[in-house]
Amino acid sequence: MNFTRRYLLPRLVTYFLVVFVGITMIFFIPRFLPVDPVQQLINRLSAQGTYMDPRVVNEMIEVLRELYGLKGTLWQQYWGFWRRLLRGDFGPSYFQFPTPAFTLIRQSLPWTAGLLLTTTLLSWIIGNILGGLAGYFSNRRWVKILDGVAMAIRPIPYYILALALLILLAYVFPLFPIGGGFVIGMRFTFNLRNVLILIRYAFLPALSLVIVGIFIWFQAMKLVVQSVKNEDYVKYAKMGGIEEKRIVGRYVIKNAMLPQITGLALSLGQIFSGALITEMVFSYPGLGTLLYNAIFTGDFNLLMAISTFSILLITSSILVIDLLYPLFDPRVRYR
Amino acid sequence: MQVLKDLLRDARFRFGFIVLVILITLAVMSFFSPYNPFRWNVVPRDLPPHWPHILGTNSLGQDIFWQLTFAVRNSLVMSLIAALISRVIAVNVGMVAGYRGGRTDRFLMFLSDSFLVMPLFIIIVLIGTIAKGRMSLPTLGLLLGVFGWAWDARVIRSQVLSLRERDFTYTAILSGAKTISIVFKEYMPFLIPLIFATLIGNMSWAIGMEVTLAILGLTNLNVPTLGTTLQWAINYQALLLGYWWWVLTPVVTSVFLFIALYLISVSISEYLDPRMRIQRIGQQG
Amino acid sequence: MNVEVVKTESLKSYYILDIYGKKRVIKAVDEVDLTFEENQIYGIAGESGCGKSTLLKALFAAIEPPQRIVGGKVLYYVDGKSYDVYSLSEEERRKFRWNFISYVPQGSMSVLNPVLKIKDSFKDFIESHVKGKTKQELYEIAKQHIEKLGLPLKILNAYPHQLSGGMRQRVTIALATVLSPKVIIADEPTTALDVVTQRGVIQLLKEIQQISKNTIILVTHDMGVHANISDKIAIMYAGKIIEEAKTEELFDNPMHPYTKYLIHSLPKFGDKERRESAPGSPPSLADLPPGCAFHPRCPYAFDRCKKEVPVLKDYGRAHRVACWLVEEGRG
Repeated sequence: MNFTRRYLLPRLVTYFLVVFVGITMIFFIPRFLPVDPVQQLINRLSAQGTYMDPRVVNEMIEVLRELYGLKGTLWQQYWGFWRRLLRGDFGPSYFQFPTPAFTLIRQSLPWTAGLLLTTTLLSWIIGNILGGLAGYFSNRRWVKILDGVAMAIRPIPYYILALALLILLAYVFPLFPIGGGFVIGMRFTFNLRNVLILIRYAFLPALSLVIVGIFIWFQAMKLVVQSVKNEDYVKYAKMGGIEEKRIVGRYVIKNAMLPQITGLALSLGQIFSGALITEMVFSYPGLGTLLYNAIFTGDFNLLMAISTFSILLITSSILVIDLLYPLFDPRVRYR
Repeated sequence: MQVLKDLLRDARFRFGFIVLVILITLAVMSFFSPYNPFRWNVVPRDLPPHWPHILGTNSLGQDIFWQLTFAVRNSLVMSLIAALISRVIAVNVGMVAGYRGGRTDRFLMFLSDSFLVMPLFIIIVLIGTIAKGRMSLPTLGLLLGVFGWAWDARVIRSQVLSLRERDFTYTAILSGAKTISIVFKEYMPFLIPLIFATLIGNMSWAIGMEVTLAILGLTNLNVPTLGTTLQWAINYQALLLGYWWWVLTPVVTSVFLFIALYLISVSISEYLDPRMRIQRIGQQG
Repeated sequence: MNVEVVKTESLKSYYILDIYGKKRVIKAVDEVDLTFEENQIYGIAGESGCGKSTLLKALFAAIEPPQRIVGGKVLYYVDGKSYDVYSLSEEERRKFRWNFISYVPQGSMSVLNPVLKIKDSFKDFIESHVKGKTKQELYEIAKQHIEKLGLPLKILNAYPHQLSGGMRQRVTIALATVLSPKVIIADEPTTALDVVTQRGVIQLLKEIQQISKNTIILVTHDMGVHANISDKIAIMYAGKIIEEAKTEELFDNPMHPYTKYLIHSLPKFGDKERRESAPGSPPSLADLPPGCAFHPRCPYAFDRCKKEVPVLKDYGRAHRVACWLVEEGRG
């Protein structure tokens, strides 16, 4: 089918290429930095005052090298890296030795995925609707007020907003738990009470992400709608006497959504990073907190694993969006 | 200068500009600081704000106000380095891709898109963790610059694309001008305002990254920046102990800085966008 | 005496701009008195920038700031009653659109919603004025109309970008006529089309008019098109009507110097002379010269032309001209 060839194939190819390049970059970065992670670990241990017999240290270095996949020539390492990756083997994590890094990721992933999915969808949809209405009725007062709020909130980085929310709603007014994702000892069954508990813990991080997200989409959509509003077909529809409600829905928003979908795909990298940062603030048991721990303990394997996974996750999501796009834009669907 | 006057009519630009001027003044004041920013215990600890320590002192025995001047200076300098480097890359990539088109364009855009979709935060964290504590400020700037060009390269490329189709390009080509001279002499006047607007946006991003990285403990914590001062405050449980002035200073300053930079960049972009200009003219009739 | 269907009285429509504190007034339509009759193709001709499009927008009541109606009236004559368009509410005006008067815009390349199939665009336009029909019935109305105009049925299921420019123009004409309006305004329907497609569009317009016996107000700078289908022509210059006559009369006997230039610029078979167009360029509508707006370019201008603005006068045979030369018999 012509469509598959023209649209699908190039994107699949790009997808695999980007994944490949990204993972290769992740592989090479630690190996090109002037710091040796194994040495760093040893240094840290000795800085903590442990005495180590030089022979023992050498053995340790050997073992660590192997665990970190640093043994052999660069080519051997690269090859080994890919082989293990395809098996899902990232080596054991240091911070929770000897649990394989992969297992830790598997545990944290659902939390992050759930948070990301709901907040991204919610903020995209709400932000676009608000932005659409604002762009269309740009002279009303509520638009100007929202604009002002957006201007104040949007530039604030995720961390600071999350921190502010934490302080306000968990500390000053202790409405929500300060951190975590669940009550200790909770069993994950699907009854209402458990679901409510989960929601309660997820609320603040979700709120933080949704607030920033809504305003980002609000502003972008407003700009798009303002330019779509002046397109010929909108003016013509008005001339034709089509009711305003219909114009706003079928003519303005339906067209303005298209660049927004593309925009969503392009911003996924940033949204993902923001989610991780927010998780850190709230100690939400997703990839963010895992990353935080990995950084603090200098857990090399875990870091590599998280980085690889992030690239896979993000590029795959972008691919999904890319594949859904033709459903909305007939210009891409047919010739 | 007419441009500046026109921009100042926009309330948003005015606000941002004033804040920025204040912050730059603060940064300049750091050269007159009576205290060495790297030393601890030069003043009594944990004093709430009152003269002569107008923003109080912290648990490390430093005057917060003078620390702030250094922090602002360092953050601004670092973000400027990052933004300038990424400008150079973005402009080069964008111009070459936009002007050459074809395969060069597709390759460069592929490169740019790869940078765009990759979780830069993770990669920078990765680098930061491994090079923990050894990253000096200029190096951080360099790092952020090398990673932050992707979005703006696209913006510049689309501007170059639209310029290429205009008549004066064909005139220049037909009259024998060389590629480089066309690109620089003819296009630059259009691109400079664009470069400026994206520079500001990039500075904002760089500072944001710096703050986040500092909080994770990945930058050199001895150098006072907006991020590191916040990190020290958190580290020493400033909030729990009630030393609100220590935490609030970097937070409030950063928030103002971000808002100011954002407003400036938005008002410049809007000023440049011809469609918005026409809309503005019409509405005031 | 034919029945009036639309009329303007001393219509004035200006653009009022405020650029960084400086006020500029563009007099795009200045004291225009025109009467359009039933069963007629009325052509309006003039160079770019003379105010034609503004006039059309004013006639159709599709004015948006910075364009404003500064004076005068536009009247619609519907079912024996006359309506002052600008004293009606927006909703009442909306009801007239497409039922009574419709618009074929300039450059129909992008007037169709790119995400809707053609049949859905039709459905939208029809449904906004005809209530109480099911979706199938609406599609049926569109289908019959398309067939009547001789357009292929399969375009109904296509998206705008799949059609050629000429086809899109014809679809737009079909869209404008689907409710059989009494007046159709066509703004430069042939510009930006190749000659072959132009002919197709013109034929279509002619056919529609002959079948429904309605009024078409056709605006174009192409005198050849006017010669082909217009019954009556008005020449517009710098916001004013400077000459108006039946087509044959105008071509046989142009009186205003500008009209003479326009007509003589058309090539004729066997003609080997040089074609001359009017020297200079039209004045900026924001900065009009005093007196007759054409006098800087007119080779016969004399004193009065530089000081007084000429008014339209009837010289018999339904031929009106606004020129001091003609009035004083110096032509």
